[in-house]
Amino acid sequence: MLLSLAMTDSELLLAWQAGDRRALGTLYDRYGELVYRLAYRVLQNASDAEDLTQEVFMTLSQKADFNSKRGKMSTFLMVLTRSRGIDRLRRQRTQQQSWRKLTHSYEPQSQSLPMEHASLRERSHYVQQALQQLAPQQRQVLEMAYFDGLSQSEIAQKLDIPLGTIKSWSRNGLIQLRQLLKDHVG
Amino acid sequence: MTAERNDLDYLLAGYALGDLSSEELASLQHILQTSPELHQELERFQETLALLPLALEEQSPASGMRERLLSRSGDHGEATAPSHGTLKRPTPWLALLSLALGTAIALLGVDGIVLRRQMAETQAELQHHRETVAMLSQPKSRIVALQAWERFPLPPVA
Repeated sequence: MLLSLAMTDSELLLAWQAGDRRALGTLYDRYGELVYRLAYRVLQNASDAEDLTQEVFMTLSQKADFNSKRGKMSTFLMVLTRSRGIDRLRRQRTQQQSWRKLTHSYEPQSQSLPMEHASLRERSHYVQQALQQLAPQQRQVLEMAYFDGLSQSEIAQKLDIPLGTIKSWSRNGLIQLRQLLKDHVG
Repeated sequence: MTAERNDLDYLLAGYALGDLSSEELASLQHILQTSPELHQELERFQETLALLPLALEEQSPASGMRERLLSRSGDHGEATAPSHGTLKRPTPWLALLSLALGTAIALLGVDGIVLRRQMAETQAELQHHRETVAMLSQPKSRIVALQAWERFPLPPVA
């Protein structure tokens, strides 16, 4: 099959799952930096981030549960990368302390979205702008929960702030973020 | 925005963050059962959360990462789809191990044959001694000590 830059993510994924490594290369060109960016943030280590990035793209070859009608590839990859990254973090941390369940996986369900068609840099700009409008403490607890995989209780303990306050900051932060990005998310 | 809507968003955000209490979760499940259209709203909260990585600073992966990924994908393909109709040459250490094992088995086999032969000879000898003992145990048997005479010198050859 001839590969074209105009091929959709779903078409590329099918080609990669059929063993076409050129399709994998094109998928990597589209999303490799973004996956690595998140992997690096979660794992805080270039070598581990590269390993996780490779694992995510290799997983795509066996993972048939991506459905472009239910969500976009970037969201799918972010969920997968975060989930695998937090799993690694938890395995590391389990050696030192017991953990309560904290991650919450989900399947993206949205239809094709306007943000999918914007460039990665533009999309990054939208999200950065939105985050800057949150209260600093809201931003902090959202980042601790999302990137560090910490539970609300663990965040409360780390910051020495009541659990109820942490929940309020994180939930209200997400509600505000949802409002700020509503034109770009569904 | 109504207080009811605020409460609903609070539950939806909590679900997306994975921090609902069991009471809150039960309440949200009830709401979603009665208003299935809210599933879409829940998904939007989840997707909003998944946008957070976009706010991170760009990171440049180490040079050559693309090539390493493609190389790994090739290794993966070979590992999962071995070629048919060709036999791989055994590795040298495996050949040496096979040779050593073969030699050991052969030596053990020869050793076993020798042992079996020795045992058969011992059993035959034992049987002979048993027969001798049985004969000597007969009531009519007498033990006579025999003494050899001194041999006369042979006459000179004429």
